[in-house]
Amino acid sequence: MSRAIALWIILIQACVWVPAGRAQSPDRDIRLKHGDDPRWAAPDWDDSDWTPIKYTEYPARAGIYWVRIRLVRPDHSTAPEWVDRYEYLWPSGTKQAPIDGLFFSTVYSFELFLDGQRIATDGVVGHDRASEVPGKLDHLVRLPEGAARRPVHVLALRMSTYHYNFPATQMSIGFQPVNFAQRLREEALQPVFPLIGAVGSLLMTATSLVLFWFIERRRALWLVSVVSLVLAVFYGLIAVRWVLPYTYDWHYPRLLAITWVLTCASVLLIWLLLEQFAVPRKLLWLALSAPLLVLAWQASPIYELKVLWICRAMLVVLLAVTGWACWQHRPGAWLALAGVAVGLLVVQTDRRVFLDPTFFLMIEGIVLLVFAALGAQVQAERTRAREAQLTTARLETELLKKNLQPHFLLNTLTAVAEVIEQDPQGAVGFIEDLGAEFRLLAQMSGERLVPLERELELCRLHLKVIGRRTGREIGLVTEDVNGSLPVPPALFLTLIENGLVHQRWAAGSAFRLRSRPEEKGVSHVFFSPGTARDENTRRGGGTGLRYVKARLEESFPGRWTFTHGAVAGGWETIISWQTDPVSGGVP
Amino acid sequence: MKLVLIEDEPLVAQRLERFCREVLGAGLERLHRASSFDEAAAWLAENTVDVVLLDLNLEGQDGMELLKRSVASSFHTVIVSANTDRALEAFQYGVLDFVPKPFTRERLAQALSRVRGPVTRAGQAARNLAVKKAGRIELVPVDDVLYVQGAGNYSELVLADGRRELHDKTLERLEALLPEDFERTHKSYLVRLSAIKALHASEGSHYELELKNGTCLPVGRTRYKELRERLL
Repeated sequence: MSRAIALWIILIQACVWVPAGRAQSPDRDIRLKHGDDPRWAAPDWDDSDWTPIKYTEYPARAGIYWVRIRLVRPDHSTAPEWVDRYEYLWPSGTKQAPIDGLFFSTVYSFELFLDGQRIATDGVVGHDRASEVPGKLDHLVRLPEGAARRPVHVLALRMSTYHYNFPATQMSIGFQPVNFAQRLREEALQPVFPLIGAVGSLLMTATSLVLFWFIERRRALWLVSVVSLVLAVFYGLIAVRWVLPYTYDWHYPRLLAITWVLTCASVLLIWLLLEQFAVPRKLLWLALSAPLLVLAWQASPIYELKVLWICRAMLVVLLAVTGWACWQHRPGAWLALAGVAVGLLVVQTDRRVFLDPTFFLMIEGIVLLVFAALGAQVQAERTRAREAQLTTARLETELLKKNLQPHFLLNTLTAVAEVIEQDPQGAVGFIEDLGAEFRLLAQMSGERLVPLERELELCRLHLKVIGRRTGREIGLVTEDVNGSLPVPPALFLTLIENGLVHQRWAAGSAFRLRSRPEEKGVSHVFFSPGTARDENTRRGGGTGLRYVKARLEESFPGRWTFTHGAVAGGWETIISWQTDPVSGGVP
Repeated sequence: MKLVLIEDEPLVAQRLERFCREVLGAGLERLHRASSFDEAAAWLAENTVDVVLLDLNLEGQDGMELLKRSVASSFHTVIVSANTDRALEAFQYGVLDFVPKPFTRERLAQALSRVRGPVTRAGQAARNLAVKKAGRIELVPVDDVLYVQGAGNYSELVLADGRRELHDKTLERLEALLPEDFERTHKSYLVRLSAIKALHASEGSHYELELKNGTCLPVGRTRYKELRERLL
């Protein structure tokens, strides 16, 4: 497990350096003019009366207009040509190649002119929404030969944006002068991580569903499968840009879907960790997370940044959840906390555009860590369950021995022999009571759980036999008990035996059992009358308490508590257990 | 015979008392019933008895501790218990008999006969003798005992390393518990045969035995012949 987290940290750190951003962008002089005139494409056209704008201030849904962009090579006095500087896979040094291409991410239809020469067109530029045909989102355009050597270029764009579906009235143009071959390689690599993420998530969905269905019906496992499925959709939506290039009018719906899907994934991931670490008041936690996620949605109008803020909000909540789990000593909590902390650190320090490999590895890492912790927990519980199963046969024997043990049986037989000789009629009743107790015990001995009413019947029969044997009556009083509730056999009988042996009890006193329902379980308060002969011995409990605890572990693995101690007038034992989280009833 | 029953189950105690009265008849001088050892101990502090019939599983009390306290006393201890798996252990600590539950009148009579008849060895010899020391019970391995010297109502255990330990039981009662290797050589001595080096007869029918450690002990005139035969 620790190796897994170490590997994950290394991978994330590595990805912080993987295809890093390009070096210097060229200086830009951008001017805009509404209208349509083919002469505006000429490089020497006087555009001094055009409106200078920033690259983020392009009007949306505002008819046909032209944009002229003057590109000046920053180092044109010394450098022989335009150069594309880039880092490739590892920060071993910046490489460079001649610029012979332009990369556009366009949310408009356009015709593109370089120095008066039309070099690209996409969609059909139109006067209105009906006449405009949307073009593709991403474009890689090869520049004419020799373009890299010219120190100044004029780009002219004839464009219309009627299918720009974003709510904003302004938009931005994103383009980069690039080395064509290099950019082609990079574009080919773009869908790799999202596709790996999608396929991995689908595999995890299938795996956790199989585990949930055939091996362990626990909610956390089911949630892992749902989270993985949602993440697969998320990765799929990311990958679709490169796998199935779409027209620009689909860009807004896609980003909106990505943001919503990530929001769902965040909520599910929070819920998953709440389940995994059995955090109480899950709904309250989720309710408290909601304002953070709403704030994240409002944090930026740019959807890539919205996603980043949602991710930050999710990680902050996860940090709180795992921190609480560590405080409560939940198994695997420290690993999860470390994973979330590393994720948060990466999100805070990585300065590149989001939705990149760092993100994929971070989210996948957290899910994998939770999955691994869940697996370890399931394995530990199954081991415990197996051990408990191994002891089942021993416990059955133990149960029979409890009333067939020499001390009980032979003393009872001695007492019966005396009653037979002194009071034959009474002896018959004695033997009948004894027979009834043994009969009931034999019926229960092979069962893991019995209804509480049968257990109480056994207790009362035993107390009757004890009363006949010792000449001292002792009762059993119950309060608020549910007779149909399943309990391990001889659970309360053992507490009664311990009370009889380890306490000085008076005739006429009574054991008392009170049950109280609790969240997802039940709690039993059992009172044994009389003072303990020796508090340490009483607390130790001997084989009786070992039997009780083994039975509880067998029936409610890891979901029970046992406390006991002296109280006024007697000894109080409190046994609680939670019902199975999936079945909700009998384990 | 003076007898104490320590049994916490009324019906079993009733049965024991009935059988004791039937078996001992007029020979029963006194019978006292107690439901716990502490209750019996309070009574025993002011009364002398010949035998205690003890249940090892008294309510919540440590049976082993009861056993040690009982066998360290002057009286004989007969265990009446359902825990037959502890019989061997009980004999090793020096009980006269172990009567398993449920018991018959005949089996109880057999145990009582060992108390009231001439000295008969216990079913199995003790391997330890419990002695009271400064408010606690200490176990002395029988293998360490060279001889036992009677001192009225008490006995003195003389050990191989020279130490002496006082035991509450009379010489007769210890004789019933010790292994066959111990021989009554004198009215006041019980000696381990394997520790004897030589027998000496001197003028005036005075007999002595010499132990391997050089100690000389008197030998009773009536016991000399039997002792010599056993040593040969």
